[in-house]
Amino acid sequence: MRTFLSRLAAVVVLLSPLAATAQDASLDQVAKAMGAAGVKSIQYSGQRRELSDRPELQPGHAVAAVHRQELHPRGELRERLAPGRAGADAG
Amino acid sequence: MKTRRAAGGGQPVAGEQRQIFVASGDFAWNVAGDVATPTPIALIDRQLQLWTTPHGVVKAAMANNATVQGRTISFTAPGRFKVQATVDAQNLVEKIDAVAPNAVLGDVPIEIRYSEYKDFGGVKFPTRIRQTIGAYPALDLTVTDVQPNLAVDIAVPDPIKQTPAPYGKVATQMAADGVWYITGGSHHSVLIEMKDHVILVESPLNDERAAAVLAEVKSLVPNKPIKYVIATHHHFDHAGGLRAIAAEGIPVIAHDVNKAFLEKALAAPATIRPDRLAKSGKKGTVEGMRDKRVLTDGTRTVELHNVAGNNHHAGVVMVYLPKEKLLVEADVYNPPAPNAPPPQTVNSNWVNLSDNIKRLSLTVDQILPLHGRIMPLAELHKSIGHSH
Repeated sequence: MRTFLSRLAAVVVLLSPLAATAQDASLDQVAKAMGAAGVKSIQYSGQRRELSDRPELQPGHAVAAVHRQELHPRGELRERLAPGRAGADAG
Repeated sequence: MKTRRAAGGGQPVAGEQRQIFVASGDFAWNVAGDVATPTPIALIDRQLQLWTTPHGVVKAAMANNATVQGRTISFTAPGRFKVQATVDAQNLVEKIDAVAPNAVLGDVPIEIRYSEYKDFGGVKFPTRIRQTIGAYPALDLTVTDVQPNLAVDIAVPDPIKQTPAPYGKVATQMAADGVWYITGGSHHSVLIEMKDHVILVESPLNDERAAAVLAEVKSLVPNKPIKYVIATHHHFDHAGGLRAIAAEGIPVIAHDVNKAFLEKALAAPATIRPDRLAKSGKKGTVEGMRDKRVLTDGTRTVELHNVAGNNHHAGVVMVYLPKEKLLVEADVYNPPAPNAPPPQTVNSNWVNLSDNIKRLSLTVDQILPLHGRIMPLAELHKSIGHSH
Protein backbone atom coordinates (compact mmCIF):
# COMPACT_ATOMS: atom_id res chain seq x y z
CA MET A 1 0.00 0.00 0.00
CA ARG A 2 2.81 2.32 0.99
CA THR A 3 4.60 1.55 -2.31
CA PHE A 4 1.43 2.25 -4.28
CA LEU A 5 0.96 5.62 -2.56
CA SER A 6 4.59 6.52 -3.13
CA ARG A 7 4.24 5.73 -6.83
CA LEU A 8 0.99 7.69 -7.04
CA ALA A 9 2.64 10.69 -5.39
CA ALA A 10 5.56 10.43 -7.80
CA VAL A 11 3.17 10.36 -10.78
CA VAL A 12 1.32 13.41 -9.45
CA VAL A 13 4.61 15.26 -8.91
CA LEU A 14 5.81 14.32 -12.38
CA LEU A 15 2.53 15.35 -14.03
CA SER A 16 2.12 18.68 -12.24
CA PRO A 17 4.56 20.56 -14.50
CA LEU A 18 2.60 19.19 -17.47
CA ALA A 19 -0.63 20.53 -15.95
CA ALA A 20 0.97 23.94 -15.45
CA THR A 21 2.31 23.87 -18.99
CA ALA A 22 -1.14 23.03 -20.32
CA GLN A 23 -2.62 25.92 -18.35
CA ASP A 24 0.04 28.34 -19.52
CA ALA A 25 -0.41 27.16 -23.05
CA SER A 26 -4.15 27.89 -22.88
CA LEU A 27 -3.57 31.42 -21.64
CA ASP A 28 -0.82 31.81 -24.20
CA GLN A 29 -3.19 30.64 -26.92
CA VAL A 30 -5.78 33.18 -25.87
CA ALA A 31 -3.15 35.93 -25.69
CA LYS A 32 -1.91 34.95 -29.14
CA ALA A 33 -5.40 34.83 -30.66
CA MET A 34 -6.23 38.23 -29.19
CA GLY A 35 -2.90 39.71 -30.24
CA ALA A 36 -2.54 40.62 -26.58
CA ALA A 37 1.06 39.57 -26.00
CA GLY A 38 2.59 42.79 -27.30
CA VAL A 39 -0.20 45.08 -26.15
CA LYS A 40 0.81 47.39 -23.33
CA SER A 41 -1.77 50.09 -23.90
CA ILE A 42 -4.95 50.30 -25.88
CA GLN A 43 -7.23 53.17 -26.73
CA TYR A 44 -10.68 52.83 -28.14
CA SER A 45 -13.66 55.02 -28.74
CA GLY A 46 -17.25 54.61 -29.71
CA GLN A 47 -20.76 55.32 -28.64
CA ARG A 48 -22.39 53.96 -25.56
CA ARG A 49 -26.09 53.68 -25.11
CA GLU A 50 -26.58 54.47 -21.48
CA LEU A 51 -28.89 52.01 -19.83
CA SER A 52 -28.38 52.90 -16.19
CA ASP A 53 -28.77 56.05 -14.13
CA ARG A 54 -25.22 57.30 -14.60
CA PRO A 55 -25.50 60.76 -13.05
CA GLU A 56 -23.10 62.35 -15.48
CA LEU A 57 -25.65 61.85 -18.21
CA GLN A 58 -28.62 64.12 -18.13
CA PRO A 59 -32.07 62.71 -18.81
CA GLY A 60 -32.59 62.43 -22.53
CA HIS A 61 -28.93 61.86 -23.32
CA ALA A 62 -29.27 58.22 -24.17
CA VAL A 63 -26.07 58.16 -26.20
CA ALA A 64 -22.65 59.26 -25.05
CA ALA A 65 -19.37 59.36 -26.89
CA VAL A 66 -16.83 57.37 -24.96
CA HIS A 67 -13.06 57.36 -25.21
CA ARG A 68 -11.08 54.88 -23.12
CA GLN A 69 -7.39 54.47 -22.50
CA GLU A 70 -5.92 51.46 -20.76
CA LEU A 71 -2.32 51.13 -19.71
CA HIS A 72 -1.78 47.61 -18.43
CA PRO A 73 1.72 47.70 -16.91
CA ARG A 74 0.75 50.55 -14.59
CA GLY A 75 -2.85 49.48 -14.01
CA GLU A 76 -4.33 52.67 -15.40
CA LEU A 77 -7.71 53.40 -16.92
CA ARG A 78 -9.07 56.69 -18.19
CA GLU A 79 -12.60 57.07 -19.55
CA ARG A 80 -13.97 60.24 -21.02
CA LEU A 81 -17.69 60.67 -21.57
CA ALA A 82 -19.25 63.39 -23.63
CA PRO A 83 -23.01 63.20 -23.24
CA GLY A 84 -25.06 63.27 -26.38
CA ARG A 85 -22.24 63.63 -28.85
CA ALA A 86 -20.81 61.51 -31.64
CA GLY A 87 -17.96 59.09 -31.10
CA ALA A 88 -15.25 61.03 -32.88
CA ASP A 89 -15.86 64.02 -30.64
CA ALA A 90 -14.88 62.19 -27.53
CA GLY A 91 -11.28 61.79 -28.35
CA MET B 1 -31.59 42.44 -7.23
CA LYS B 2 -32.83 45.64 -8.78
CA THR B 3 -29.84 47.73 -9.63
CA ARG B 4 -30.72 49.56 -12.76
CA ARG B 5 -32.31 52.57 -11.16
CA ALA B 6 -29.98 52.43 -8.21
CA ALA B 7 -26.86 52.44 -10.31
CA GLY B 8 -27.06 56.19 -10.34
CA GLY B 9 -25.67 58.41 -7.71
CA GLY B 10 -23.43 61.36 -7.39
CA GLN B 11 -24.34 64.93 -7.78
CA PRO B 12 -26.22 65.67 -10.95
CA VAL B 13 -24.12 67.59 -13.41
CA ALA B 14 -25.72 70.43 -15.28
CA GLY B 15 -25.39 70.91 -19.01
CA GLU B 16 -23.31 68.84 -21.39
CA GLN B 17 -20.13 68.88 -19.41
CA ARG B 18 -17.60 66.21 -20.25
CA GLN B 19 -16.71 63.85 -17.47
CA ILE B 20 -13.46 61.99 -17.04
CA PHE B 21 -13.09 58.96 -14.79
CA VAL B 22 -9.61 57.78 -13.95
CA ALA B 23 -7.90 55.03 -11.99
CA SER B 24 -4.16 54.65 -11.59
CA GLY B 25 -2.69 52.14 -9.16
CA ASP B 26 -4.44 52.76 -5.86
CA PHE B 27 -5.88 56.14 -6.83
CA ALA B 28 -9.22 56.96 -8.45
CA TRP B 29 -10.49 60.40 -9.33
CA ASN B 30 -12.93 62.28 -11.54
CA VAL B 31 -12.20 65.35 -13.60
CA ALA B 32 -14.84 67.94 -14.43
CA GLY B 33 -13.53 71.02 -16.18
CA ASP B 34 -10.14 71.66 -14.57
CA VAL B 35 -11.06 70.18 -11.22
CA ALA B 36 -9.89 66.72 -10.15
CA THR B 37 -11.88 65.16 -7.31
CA PRO B 38 -10.68 62.04 -5.49
CA THR B 39 -13.16 59.16 -5.73
CA PRO B 40 -11.56 56.27 -3.86
CA ILE B 41 -15.04 54.75 -3.55
CA ALA B 42 -14.85 54.04 -7.30
CA LEU B 43 -11.39 52.42 -7.27
CA ILE B 44 -12.42 48.76 -7.19
CA ASP B 45 -15.07 49.31 -9.85
CA ARG B 46 -12.55 50.94 -12.18
CA GLN B 47 -9.92 48.29 -11.51
CA LEU B 48 -12.55 45.70 -12.35
CA GLN B 49 -13.35 47.58 -15.57
CA LEU B 50 -9.66 47.61 -16.50
CA TRP B 51 -8.95 43.98 -15.68
CA THR B 52 -12.06 42.66 -17.39
CA THR B 53 -11.50 44.33 -20.74
CA PRO B 54 -10.70 41.84 -23.52
CA HIS B 55 -6.94 42.37 -23.21
CA GLY B 56 -6.87 43.40 -19.58
CA VAL B 57 -8.42 40.12 -18.49
CA VAL B 58 -5.69 38.11 -20.22
CA LYS B 59 -3.01 40.14 -18.43
CA ALA B 60 -4.81 39.87 -15.11
CA ALA B 61 -5.29 36.11 -15.53
CA MET B 62 -1.56 35.68 -16.12
CA ALA B 63 -0.69 37.84 -13.11
CA ASN B 64 -3.14 36.21 -10.70
CA ASN B 65 -2.35 32.50 -11.14
CA ALA B 66 -5.56 31.87 -13.05
CA THR B 67 -6.90 28.36 -13.40
CA VAL B 68 -8.06 27.18 -16.79
CA GLN B 69 -10.77 24.59 -17.27
CA GLY B 70 -11.89 23.98 -20.80
CA ARG B 71 -12.75 27.40 -22.16
CA THR B 72 -13.06 29.07 -18.76
CA ILE B 73 -10.32 31.10 -17.11
CA SER B 74 -10.82 31.92 -13.42
CA PHE B 75 -8.95 34.13 -11.02
CA THR B 76 -9.49 36.18 -7.88
CA ALA B 77 -8.08 39.51 -6.84
CA PRO B 78 -8.50 39.07 -3.07
CA GLY B 79 -10.80 41.66 -1.49
CA ARG B 80 -11.53 43.15 -4.89
CA PHE B 81 -13.28 40.81 -7.28
CA LYS B 82 -13.64 37.31 -8.67
CA VAL B 83 -13.52 36.87 -12.43
CA GLN B 84 -14.43 34.05 -14.79
CA ALA B 85 -13.64 34.64 -18.46
CA THR B 86 -14.99 32.41 -21.21
CA VAL B 87 -13.26 32.17 -24.58
CA ASP B 88 -14.84 31.10 -27.85
CA ALA B 89 -13.64 28.51 -30.36
CA GLN B 90 -11.17 31.04 -31.79
CA ASN B 91 -9.76 31.69 -28.27
CA LEU B 92 -11.23 35.18 -28.20
CA VAL B 93 -12.67 36.40 -24.89
CA GLU B 94 -16.42 36.36 -25.35
CA LYS B 95 -17.86 36.62 -21.83
CA ILE B 96 -16.90 37.78 -18.37
CA ASP B 97 -18.73 36.75 -15.21
CA ALA B 98 -17.46 38.74 -12.26
CA VAL B 99 -18.49 39.34 -8.68
CA ALA B 100 -17.48 42.61 -7.05
CA PRO B 101 -18.16 44.27 -3.72
CA ASN B 102 -20.61 47.14 -3.54
CA ALA B 103 -21.30 49.41 -0.59
CA VAL B 104 -25.06 49.24 -1.15
CA LEU B 105 -25.59 45.76 -2.55
CA GLY B 106 -22.85 43.60 -1.02
CA ASP B 107 -21.72 41.07 -3.65
CA VAL B 108 -22.76 42.20 -7.12
CA PRO B 109 -22.71 39.92 -10.19
CA ILE B 110 -21.49 41.59 -13.36
CA GLU B 111 -21.66 40.07 -16.84
CA ILE B 112 -19.86 41.47 -19.86
CA ARG B 113 -20.24 40.11 -23.38
CA TYR B 114 -17.70 40.85 -26.11
CA SER B 115 -18.72 40.22 -29.72
CA GLU B 116 -18.19 41.24 -33.35
CA TYR B 117 -14.40 41.11 -33.08
CA LYS B 118 -12.36 42.91 -35.73
CA ASP B 119 -8.66 43.13 -36.42
CA PHE B 120 -7.04 46.46 -35.58
CA GLY B 121 -3.41 46.26 -36.74
CA GLY B 122 -2.93 42.68 -35.56
CA VAL B 123 -4.91 43.18 -32.37
CA LYS B 124 -8.36 41.61 -32.11
CA PHE B 125 -10.91 43.79 -30.37
CA PRO B 126 -14.70 43.50 -30.04
CA THR B 127 -16.79 46.19 -31.64
CA ARG B 128 -19.77 45.44 -29.42
CA ILE B 129 -19.58 45.40 -25.63
CA ARG B 130 -22.64 44.77 -23.48
CA GLN B 131 -22.72 44.72 -19.72
CA THR B 132 -25.26 43.83 -17.09
CA ILE B 133 -25.00 44.58 -13.40
CA GLY B 134 -27.11 42.45 -11.12
CA ALA B 135 -28.82 41.03 -14.24
CA TYR B 136 -29.96 44.49 -15.37
CA PRO B 137 -28.58 46.03 -18.57
CA ALA B 138 -26.03 48.72 -17.74
CA LEU B 139 -24.02 49.34 -20.89
CA ASP B 140 -24.20 48.82 -24.63
CA LEU B 141 -21.09 50.14 -26.35
CA THR B 142 -20.39 50.16 -30.08
CA VAL B 143 -16.66 50.53 -30.67
CA THR B 144 -15.65 52.44 -33.78
CA ASP B 145 -11.91 52.96 -33.39
CA VAL B 146 -9.13 50.98 -31.66
CA GLN B 147 -5.48 51.95 -31.42
CA PRO B 148 -3.07 49.67 -29.58
CA ASN B 149 0.22 50.81 -28.06
CA LEU B 150 -0.18 54.55 -28.48
CA ALA B 151 1.71 56.56 -25.89
CA VAL B 152 -0.53 56.89 -22.86
CA ASP B 153 0.39 59.08 -19.94
CA ILE B 154 -2.01 59.11 -17.01
CA ALA B 155 -0.28 61.03 -14.24
CA VAL B 156 -1.83 61.10 -10.78
CA PRO B 157 -2.37 64.81 -9.95
CA ASP B 158 -0.51 65.94 -6.84
CA PRO B 159 -3.70 67.03 -5.04
CA ILE B 160 -5.09 63.53 -5.54
CA LYS B 161 -1.91 61.93 -4.16
CA GLN B 162 -1.97 64.26 -1.18
CA THR B 163 -5.64 63.88 -0.33
CA PRO B 164 -6.12 61.67 2.71
CA ALA B 165 -8.97 59.18 2.76
CA PRO B 166 -11.86 61.63 2.35
CA TYR B 167 -14.66 59.66 3.94
CA GLY B 168 -13.52 59.81 7.54
CA LYS B 169 -13.32 63.60 7.71
CA VAL B 170 -16.19 65.13 9.66
CA ALA B 171 -17.03 68.77 10.32
CA THR B 172 -20.14 69.75 12.24
CA GLN B 173 -22.17 72.91 12.27
CA MET B 174 -25.12 73.53 14.58
CA ALA B 175 -28.06 74.56 12.41
CA ALA B 176 -30.48 75.03 15.32
CA ASP B 177 -30.71 73.94 18.93
CA GLY B 178 -30.40 70.14 18.76
CA VAL B 179 -29.92 70.05 14.99
CA TRP B 180 -26.46 69.45 13.52
CA TYR B 181 -25.29 69.62 9.92
CA ILE B 182 -22.60 66.93 9.63
CA THR B 183 -20.30 67.69 6.72
CA GLY B 184 -16.60 67.29 5.94
CA GLY B 185 -16.85 65.54 2.59
CA SER B 186 -19.01 65.45 -0.50
CA HIS B 187 -22.15 64.03 1.13
CA HIS B 188 -23.62 65.35 4.34
CA SER B 189 -25.91 64.06 7.08
CA VAL B 190 -28.15 65.85 9.57
CA LEU B 191 -28.61 64.84 13.19
CA ILE B 192 -31.83 65.73 15.01
CA GLU B 193 -32.04 65.37 18.77
CA MET B 194 -35.35 64.25 20.24
CA LYS B 195 -36.37 63.81 23.90
CA ASP B 196 -34.92 60.34 24.42
CA HIS B 197 -33.35 59.47 21.09
CA VAL B 198 -31.85 60.98 17.96
CA ILE B 199 -32.75 60.75 14.27
CA LEU B 200 -30.11 60.75 11.56
CA VAL B 201 -30.91 61.95 8.06
CA GLU B 202 -28.78 60.10 5.50
CA SER B 203 -25.95 57.61 5.84
CA PRO B 204 -24.12 58.09 2.54
CA LEU B 205 -21.18 56.65 0.62
CA ASN B 206 -19.79 53.60 2.44
CA ASP B 207 -18.90 51.85 5.69
CA GLU B 208 -16.03 54.22 6.35
CA ARG B 209 -18.22 57.32 6.10
CA ALA B 210 -20.92 55.68 8.19
CA ALA B 211 -18.39 54.87 10.92
CA ALA B 212 -17.19 58.47 10.98
CA VAL B 213 -20.75 59.86 11.11
CA LEU B 214 -21.82 57.39 13.80
CA ALA B 215 -18.80 58.36 15.91
CA GLU B 216 -19.72 62.03 15.49
CA VAL B 217 -23.32 61.32 16.51
CA LYS B 218 -22.09 59.60 19.69
CA SER B 219 -19.81 62.52 20.42
CA LEU B 220 -22.57 65.12 19.91
CA VAL B 221 -25.32 63.28 21.81
CA PRO B 222 -23.62 60.59 23.86
CA ASN B 223 -26.55 59.23 25.81
CA LYS B 224 -29.32 58.90 23.24
CA PRO B 225 -29.62 56.04 20.74
CA ILE B 226 -30.34 56.54 17.05
CA LYS B 227 -33.97 55.51 16.60
CA TYR B 228 -34.18 55.97 12.84
CA VAL B 229 -32.02 56.75 9.87
CA ILE B 230 -33.91 58.48 7.09
CA ALA B 231 -32.69 57.59 3.59
CA THR B 232 -33.53 60.42 1.18
CA HIS B 233 -33.27 58.02 -1.75
CA HIS B 234 -31.54 54.84 -2.82
CA HIS B 235 -28.89 56.09 -5.24
CA PHE B 236 -25.58 54.43 -4.45
CA ASP B 237 -23.78 57.50 -3.17
CA HIS B 238 -26.61 58.33 -0.77
CA ALA B 239 -27.33 54.78 0.40
CA GLY B 240 -23.79 53.41 0.71
CA GLY B 241 -23.71 53.76 4.51
CA LEU B 242 -27.04 52.05 5.16
CA ARG B 243 -25.53 48.57 5.52
CA ALA B 244 -23.44 49.89 8.42
CA ILE B 245 -26.65 51.32 9.91
CA ALA B 246 -28.30 47.92 9.58
CA ALA B 247 -25.30 46.36 11.31
CA GLU B 248 -26.14 48.58 14.31
CA GLY B 249 -29.72 47.32 14.30
CA ILE B 250 -31.14 50.76 13.45
CA PRO B 251 -34.27 50.83 11.24
CA VAL B 252 -34.20 52.84 8.01
CA ILE B 253 -37.09 54.97 6.78
CA ALA B 254 -37.37 55.38 3.02
CA HIS B 255 -40.00 56.06 0.41
CA ASP B 256 -42.17 53.06 -0.49
CA VAL B 257 -40.72 52.90 -4.03
CA ASN B 258 -37.31 52.14 -2.52
CA LYS B 259 -38.40 49.90 0.35
CA ALA B 260 -38.13 46.53 -1.39
CA PHE B 261 -34.83 47.43 -3.00
CA LEU B 262 -33.29 48.53 0.30
CA GLU B 263 -34.67 45.51 2.17
CA LYS B 264 -32.99 43.24 -0.33
CA ALA B 265 -29.76 45.25 -0.23
CA LEU B 266 -29.67 45.17 3.57
CA ALA B 267 -30.02 41.40 3.56
CA ALA B 268 -27.48 40.69 0.81
CA PRO B 269 -24.24 38.80 1.48
CA ALA B 270 -20.85 40.49 1.15
CA THR B 271 -18.33 37.69 0.76
CA ILE B 272 -15.78 39.31 -1.53
CA ARG B 273 -15.09 42.11 0.94
CA PRO B 274 -17.04 41.46 4.14
CA ASP B 275 -18.43 44.72 5.49
CA ARG B 276 -19.82 45.65 8.90
CA LEU B 277 -23.21 44.17 8.09
CA ALA B 278 -21.75 40.90 6.86
CA LYS B 279 -19.61 40.66 9.97
CA SER B 280 -22.58 41.44 12.24
CA GLY B 281 -24.71 38.63 10.87
CA LYS B 282 -27.75 40.95 11.00
CA LYS B 283 -30.29 41.98 8.39
CA GLY B 284 -31.60 45.50 8.07
CA THR B 285 -35.17 46.67 8.52
CA VAL B 286 -36.81 49.30 6.35
CA GLU B 287 -40.00 51.23 7.10
CA GLY B 288 -41.77 52.80 4.15
CA MET B 289 -43.67 56.01 3.63
CA ARG B 290 -45.57 57.55 0.77
CA ASP B 291 -46.38 61.25 0.63
CA LYS B 292 -45.84 62.15 4.26
CA ARG B 293 -44.77 60.76 7.61
CA VAL B 294 -44.45 62.62 10.92
CA LEU B 295 -42.08 61.72 13.74
CA THR B 296 -42.67 63.51 17.01
CA ASP B 297 -41.94 63.22 20.70
CA GLY B 298 -44.21 66.04 21.79
CA THR B 299 -41.46 68.63 21.85
CA ARG B 300 -40.02 68.44 18.37
CA THR B 301 -41.76 67.48 15.15
CA VAL B 302 -39.98 66.04 12.16
CA GLU B 303 -41.95 65.88 8.91
CA LEU B 304 -40.93 63.64 6.05
CA HIS B 305 -42.31 64.58 2.63
CA ASN B 306 -41.90 63.12 -0.83
CA VAL B 307 -40.46 65.66 -3.26
CA ALA B 308 -43.25 65.10 -5.75
CA GLY B 309 -42.61 65.52 -9.45
CA ASN B 310 -38.85 66.07 -9.36
CA ASN B 311 -36.92 64.47 -12.21
CA HIS B 312 -34.01 63.11 -10.14
CA HIS B 313 -35.89 60.19 -8.64
CA ALA B 314 -39.55 59.59 -7.82
CA GLY B 315 -38.86 58.42 -4.27
CA VAL B 316 -36.84 61.35 -2.96
CA VAL B 317 -37.75 62.21 0.64
CA MET B 318 -37.07 65.62 2.19
CA VAL B 319 -37.16 66.38 5.91
CA TYR B 320 -38.87 69.46 7.33
CA LEU B 321 -38.52 70.85 10.84
CA PRO B 322 -41.46 73.27 11.22
CA LYS B 323 -40.39 74.81 14.53
CA GLU B 324 -36.85 75.45 13.32
CA LYS B 325 -37.99 76.32 9.77
CA LEU B 326 -35.33 74.06 8.32
CA LEU B 327 -35.56 71.84 5.24
CA VAL B 328 -33.15 68.96 4.54
CA GLU B 329 -33.00 67.74 0.95
CA ALA B 330 -30.70 65.77 -1.33
CA ASP B 331 -29.90 66.16 -5.04
CA VAL B 332 -32.91 68.33 -5.85
CA TYR B 333 -31.13 71.57 -4.98
CA ASN B 334 -27.33 71.47 -4.91
CA PRO B 335 -26.29 75.07 -4.35
CA PRO B 336 -23.56 76.35 -6.64
CA ALA B 337 -20.13 77.29 -5.24
CA PRO B 338 -20.14 80.66 -3.43
CA ASN B 339 -18.52 82.63 -6.25
CA ALA B 340 -19.93 80.67 -9.15
CA PRO B 341 -21.66 82.69 -11.87
CA PRO B 342 -25.44 82.31 -11.89
CA PRO B 343 -26.59 79.34 -13.98
CA GLN B 344 -27.49 80.23 -17.56
CA THR B 345 -30.61 78.12 -17.49
CA VAL B 346 -33.03 77.60 -14.66
CA ASN B 347 -32.67 74.16 -13.09
CA SER B 348 -36.06 72.47 -13.26
CA ASN B 349 -35.45 70.57 -10.01
CA TRP B 350 -34.80 73.81 -8.17
CA VAL B 351 -38.14 75.10 -9.43
CA ASN B 352 -39.71 71.80 -8.43
CA LEU B 353 -38.38 72.10 -4.88
CA SER B 354 -39.73 75.62 -4.61
CA ASP B 355 -43.10 74.41 -5.93
CA ASN B 356 -43.16 71.57 -3.38
CA ILE B 357 -42.41 73.96 -0.53
CA LYS B 358 -45.29 76.13 -1.69
CA ARG B 359 -47.65 73.19 -2.31
CA LEU B 360 -47.06 71.81 1.17
CA SER B 361 -47.21 75.26 2.80
CA LEU B 362 -43.84 74.75 4.47
CA THR B 363 -42.35 77.77 6.19
CA VAL B 364 -38.66 77.46 5.44
CA ASP B 365 -35.92 79.87 6.42
CA GLN B 366 -32.94 77.74 5.56
CA ILE B 367 -32.22 74.72 3.39
CA LEU B 368 -29.71 72.12 4.56
CA PRO B 369 -28.67 70.48 1.28
CA LEU B 370 -26.90 67.15 1.60
CA HIS B 371 -24.40 68.45 -0.95
CA GLY B 372 -22.95 71.91 -0.62
CA ARG B 373 -23.73 74.34 2.18
CA ILE B 374 -26.60 75.79 4.18
CA MET B 375 -28.58 78.23 2.06
CA PRO B 376 -31.38 80.66 2.85
CA LEU B 377 -34.55 79.81 0.96
CA ALA B 378 -34.36 83.29 -0.52
CA GLU B 379 -31.22 82.23 -2.44
CA LEU B 380 -33.10 79.39 -4.07
CA HIS B 381 -35.89 81.77 -5.05
CA LYS B 382 -33.38 84.26 -6.39
CA SER B 383 -31.69 81.54 -8.48
CA ILE B 384 -34.94 80.59 -10.16
CA GLY B 385 -36.20 84.13 -10.53
CA HIS B 386 -38.97 83.94 -7.97
CA SER B 387 -39.51 86.91 -5.74
CA HIS B 388 -41.55 85.15 -3.02
